Amino acid sequence: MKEQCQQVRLESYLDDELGQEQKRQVEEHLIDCAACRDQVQLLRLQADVLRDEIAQVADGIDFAGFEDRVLAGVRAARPPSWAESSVFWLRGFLRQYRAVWVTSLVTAAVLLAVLVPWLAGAPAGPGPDLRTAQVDNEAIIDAMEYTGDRSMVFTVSKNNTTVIWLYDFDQVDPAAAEGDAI
Amino acid sequence: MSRPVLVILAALTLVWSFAGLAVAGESDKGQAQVDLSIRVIYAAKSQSPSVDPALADIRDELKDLPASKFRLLDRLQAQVDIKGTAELQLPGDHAIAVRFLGIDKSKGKQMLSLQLSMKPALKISLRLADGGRTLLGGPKHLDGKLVLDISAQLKEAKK
Repeated sequence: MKEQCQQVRLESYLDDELGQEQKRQVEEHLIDCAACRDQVQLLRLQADVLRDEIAQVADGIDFAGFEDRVLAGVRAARPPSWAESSVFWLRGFLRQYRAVWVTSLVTAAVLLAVLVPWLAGAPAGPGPDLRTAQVDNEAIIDAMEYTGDRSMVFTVSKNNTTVIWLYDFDQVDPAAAEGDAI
Repeated sequence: MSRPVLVILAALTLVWSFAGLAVAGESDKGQAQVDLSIRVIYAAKSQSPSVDPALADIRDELKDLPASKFRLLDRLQAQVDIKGTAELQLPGDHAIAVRFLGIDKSKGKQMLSLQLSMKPALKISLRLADGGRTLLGGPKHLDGKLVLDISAQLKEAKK
């Protein structure tokens, strides 16, 4: 094919898409160029084959009521109800902000598991059953002011009972104790 | 609504929820009452050891004290609110006062903050396990001593 053949728009010529001047130029070229004439012949043959095949397929289709069926399908696709719209919005929201709500739920669960028992003052494990022989008598002395000289604090029995024993309570001078403002 | 705004809103909601829990916990403390029990026990050394049947529940504690005969002389049971005081007159012109200061949960369990006063010589601040007891031996009485059995049990007040 000659170099100027590449500039010839044969498909456009066959589809009648060229202007009058361009069409005249193509026809003048075809007079001198056997290769382009053969190309045009081939393109026309392909088009005819395709047209015949499409026609054969179309003959097997019943187009009666086609328009009515299309319109019926359009009417069936009614606008969604309020509930359907809400569900659709929620699904989209959860999908879009998955990182946010998953992180928030995990954080809330961890905080609940840690803070609620602490605030409620629940013991870390099973507490002592005070109805049995084992009694919790734990005592913590935070401060002790005693004007005597002899005292002792000790624990007795399996119940861990604290005993505060004042050996010289009756020997404390009341006048001296008054000054200590107990 | 942008993602950072949503995260901030979620965090604020969590903080507000837990603040509500904390306030609820604080308000519960205001309604607390304590059942206080003070038993006055005469303890003396004796060749015939004996324990008053009324003191059978603390027999194990009493046998470790420097006495062998124990008799229940008096008993006081009182319900006190926070900052409330129960007082009991003792033989020999003494008196014991027990003041309920509040509830302490720092040890992972409920402990009752109490202040024991026995004029003129003694004032003790202690935390006692809820439902627990402590023994205080001090004033002389006859041939022995008075031992005070002080116990406290938390009781939620009716609203």
